[in-house]
Amino acid sequence: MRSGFVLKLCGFGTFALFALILVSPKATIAPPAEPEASIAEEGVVPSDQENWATSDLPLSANSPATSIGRVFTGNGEPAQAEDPHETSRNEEHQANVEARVAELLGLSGKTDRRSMDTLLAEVDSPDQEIREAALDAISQSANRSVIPELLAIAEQTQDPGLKRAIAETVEFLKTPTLTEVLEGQVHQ
Amino acid sequence: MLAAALLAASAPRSEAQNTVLNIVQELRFKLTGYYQMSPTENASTFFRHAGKVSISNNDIINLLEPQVNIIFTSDARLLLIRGTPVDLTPRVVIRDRFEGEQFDTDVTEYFSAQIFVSIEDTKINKNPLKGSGVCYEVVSFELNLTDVNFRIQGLGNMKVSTGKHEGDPVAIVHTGKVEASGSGEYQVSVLSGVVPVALFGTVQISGKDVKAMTE
Repeated sequence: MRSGFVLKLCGFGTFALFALILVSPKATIAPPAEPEASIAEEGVVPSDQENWATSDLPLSANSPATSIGRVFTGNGEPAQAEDPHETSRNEEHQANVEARVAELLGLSGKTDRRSMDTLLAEVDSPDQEIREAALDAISQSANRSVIPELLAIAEQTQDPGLKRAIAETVEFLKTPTLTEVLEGQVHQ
Repeated sequence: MLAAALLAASAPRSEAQNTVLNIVQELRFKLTGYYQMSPTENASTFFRHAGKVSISNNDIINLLEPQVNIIFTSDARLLLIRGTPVDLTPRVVIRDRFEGEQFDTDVTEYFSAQIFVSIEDTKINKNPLKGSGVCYEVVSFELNLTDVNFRIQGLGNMKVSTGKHEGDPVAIVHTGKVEASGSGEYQVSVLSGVVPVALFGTVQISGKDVKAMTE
């Protein structure tokens, strides 16, 4: 009877072990993520990849262009697939910014009140290129009468970068110009 | 090399013998100079003082007026004239107006520019010509006058785009800001003599116009 019990116990243990093996979760290896297959949007395409791009064979997940790794843009960032609508919007926005920057820089050297008001209105523009152009044009004007207004803008803004840029512009305006020094207007 | 080939293929053929296409860009200098002032002392301490001076386009134009015997208006602009497709020694010109007429005065003899190296990281569409990307340029400017001289040099992280002539894209253009530094000298007075100056600041190069000029 005792041996019978032992045999039943062994059999149950074997069955339990077998059941555990069947039920336990299997470890799976996820397939590697496929690298970007698109050509870099910016930057020069390396000569070897250019050959693949122009060959008769279509680019696929196993093609050399994708199996080696990602194609990087000139500034080290992975290439992104182009959205033509977004590219068009970005180009239009950039064209508008460039046009406005050109207008502001065209006021460089002018000291009349209207020009100063136009430039001061853009000092806190949301676009950094426009802000820089406005401050550069104000610097060129050597018009120290706008210093209080620049300081007021710096006081109101929370942007530390803009505060610093305005402070630099004010410092430049306060500095005697070479013309003033050579004409003896500034005592040594 | 690719840009040069593209431009050679796309540049319009001029009827005139010596009409060339030049990129006309505007220069804006914003420099700060430090110079040694007269020392002071008290019973226990000797002081050396650094004076500060700002240099912008107006100052440079004022210095060039006696050299060319022209008194320019406050609207006068400093321009950089670059030949196409590549020009490492562009001309410096002051553009102004007199009685409504525009005139250019070449001041390269006194104020020159040189591009030592220009490295592009760009994409250039062949047809129509369209360039985009960045360009790393090392640029220097030198003012050489009797009473004042300086030389500054710096690296510009320039933006590459397309210059147009009468609406047609014809050239690859570089615009941006050069972070420059250098040194110079100026004569404070006959008694004080020549004073050395340490300079730093920026030179903004802007504009994408391409103009046909007779040379």
